[in-house]
Amino acid sequence: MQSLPIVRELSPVGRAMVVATLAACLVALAMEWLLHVTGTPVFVASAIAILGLAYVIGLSTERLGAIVGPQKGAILNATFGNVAELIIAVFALAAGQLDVVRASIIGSIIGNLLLVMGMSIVVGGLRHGIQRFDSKIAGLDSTLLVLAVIALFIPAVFVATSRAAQPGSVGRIDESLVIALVLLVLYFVNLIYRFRHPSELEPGEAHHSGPQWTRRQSIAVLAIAAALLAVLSEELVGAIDPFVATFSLTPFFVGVIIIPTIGNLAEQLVAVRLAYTDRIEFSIAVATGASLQIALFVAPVLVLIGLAIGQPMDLAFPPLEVAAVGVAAAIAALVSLDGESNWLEGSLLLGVYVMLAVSFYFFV
Amino acid sequence: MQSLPILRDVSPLGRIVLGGTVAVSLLSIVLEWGVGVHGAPIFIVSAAGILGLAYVVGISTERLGAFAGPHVGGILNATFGNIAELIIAFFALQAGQLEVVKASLTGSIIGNLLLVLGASLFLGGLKNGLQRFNAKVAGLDSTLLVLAVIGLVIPATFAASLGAEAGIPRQAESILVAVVLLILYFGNLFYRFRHPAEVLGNELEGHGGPSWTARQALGVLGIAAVFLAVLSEQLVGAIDPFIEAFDLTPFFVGVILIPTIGNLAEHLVGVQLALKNKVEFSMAVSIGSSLQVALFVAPVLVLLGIVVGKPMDLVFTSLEVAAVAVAALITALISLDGESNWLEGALLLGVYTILGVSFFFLP
Repeated sequence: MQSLPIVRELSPVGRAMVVATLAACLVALAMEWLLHVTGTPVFVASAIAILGLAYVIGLSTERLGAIVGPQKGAILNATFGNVAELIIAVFALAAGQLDVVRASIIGSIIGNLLLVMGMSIVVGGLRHGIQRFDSKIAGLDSTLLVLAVIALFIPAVFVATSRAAQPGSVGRIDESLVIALVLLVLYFVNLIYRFRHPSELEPGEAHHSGPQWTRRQSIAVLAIAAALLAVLSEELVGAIDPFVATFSLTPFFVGVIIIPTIGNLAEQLVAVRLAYTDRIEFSIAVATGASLQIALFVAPVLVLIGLAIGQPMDLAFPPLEVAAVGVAAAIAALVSLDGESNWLEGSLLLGVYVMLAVSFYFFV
Repeated sequence: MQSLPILRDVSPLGRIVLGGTVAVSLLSIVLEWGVGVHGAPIFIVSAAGILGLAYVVGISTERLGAFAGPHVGGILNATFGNIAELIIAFFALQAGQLEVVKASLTGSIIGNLLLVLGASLFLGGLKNGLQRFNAKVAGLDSTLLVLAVIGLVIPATFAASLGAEAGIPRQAESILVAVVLLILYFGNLFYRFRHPAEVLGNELEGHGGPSWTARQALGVLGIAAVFLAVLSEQLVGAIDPFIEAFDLTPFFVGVILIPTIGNLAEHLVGVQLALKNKVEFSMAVSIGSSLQVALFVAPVLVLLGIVVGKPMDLVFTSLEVAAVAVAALITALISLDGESNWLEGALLLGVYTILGVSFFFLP
């Protein structure tokens, strides 16, 4: 293995991760196709492999970004940053697990805002005391978060009050479809704004640019990882029901807590590391950026894909989920708007996350 | 026509609008009373007439304001600024179209906050880059917006908690809330007049309007108001056939169409100001107008409703309350930092679209 050029360029940790990921993928595939194991063990094995694949995708995207320059690199990051969540959600959607899909969207948003940001601020604050960042960027991000909350809140109210908004009814799907298009437009408008006014918003590029792969190698790694991710996501989704039954969980808990953690862990580690090295600005940008991307890009894309594959999904989330995103956005905005953070603020975010997780755990 | 002294003092564009307005108003009245047309065509023609009349009321108010000095002028603007909405809503109230009245109040508030302000910030930002304004004024306006939201949320919650046996307490609560809102509206006006430097930034320099005499301006205002009343009655009478003809909901007509008819003149002023990089005035127009609808027009309608025997309460539907709340929230968030850019304008327009779609599909 040592002699493979792709592996040679990696740091020792990265090398171990890539090898372990490959091994985990092979184990998960072998379990399902050779040993015909089903249910919980397959869920656990594919979850571990997906964790690793998300990390590998991150590496190759970073590398490609470094090759094509900051602007296109940012688009790449913005597109592939949450590709693991997107792929898992597409397969869950195709399997008709609409509750799980919606819950995983919510879980990704609150996980990034509360768990990732909270951990980062706690770790950074304990090590460096008060950390400062540009409150202007935080202000724009907060406004976008509020937009995301509005886009979840209005369909929920619509469904709750509209007399003929039965599940799957035409008006309900159409409303969500148009809202999804509005969100996508605003997501791209937001990207355009950031590219046109980089000095104002981006705190001086900070790409650690990944391993020294060539463009072709990076694309190959990315493609292989994505293909494996697709296969494993299908296995994972197929094993949700037995997994839920074995541990007597609710689909909500799996969707809100477990699946987003699987897709996001790599990003979480990056954000915490950034905060630890006193780059809290990037850390917060990673956390809010990821949750914005889920709300303004992944969720609307899923609505469109759902229509395309005949599993129409609307944006009418249950009240507890809407409330979760609402309070997460509110407290994250409050914490970040003053341009300073300390470990207490971080622990407040973690506390809110625990409260929400408990509520979803007991939610039937 | 050229020789009429009133027309001579108006700019060429204003002259065309004025002439067109008179023509359309007469056409609409003739269609209804002379030819006996009913339904959707009447709705459209009266709507066009009202659009123009709102503009004419605007010019004559400005002119009167220029005579009376900034203080009284401010009161005049504050009173007549939304007179078209008030008159339309009054006739809708009399016709028992309570849903449409409430929807049009909601639509006026969110239209000003999201559509007018959004278009102003978007176009102003594209033309002028980052625009700055006094965050203190924006802060006071945001607080008043929150007050307006509270004035809608509490009666709705109250009614929901009362359940079915609503009746008298529900109506009484709304009247008291309306009186409180009116008092606070006048308290707000009073504060602004006593502390103009602190709150108004640099005086709202009205561009004065045409150089009419006070009597001419009053005459134009009076005639326009009478026409407005007649056309509003026609418009309201044609709402039901119009809804049927185009397969719309009363909510959509109330939230989107009627406020647009009453507000278009103001929309254009707001956008024009933002293009000239006077974003502070532009915000005063759009946010001020929505505050006026919430704190003045709505409570006045509650009181008028009692007088004309069509009691209206302040209990709005959940979607309406939610719409006003999210509009106020995102406007406050955008305006509190004292800076605006085109992205923020685009966000407001996006929220308006989201709300518009929801009202369109609401059965």
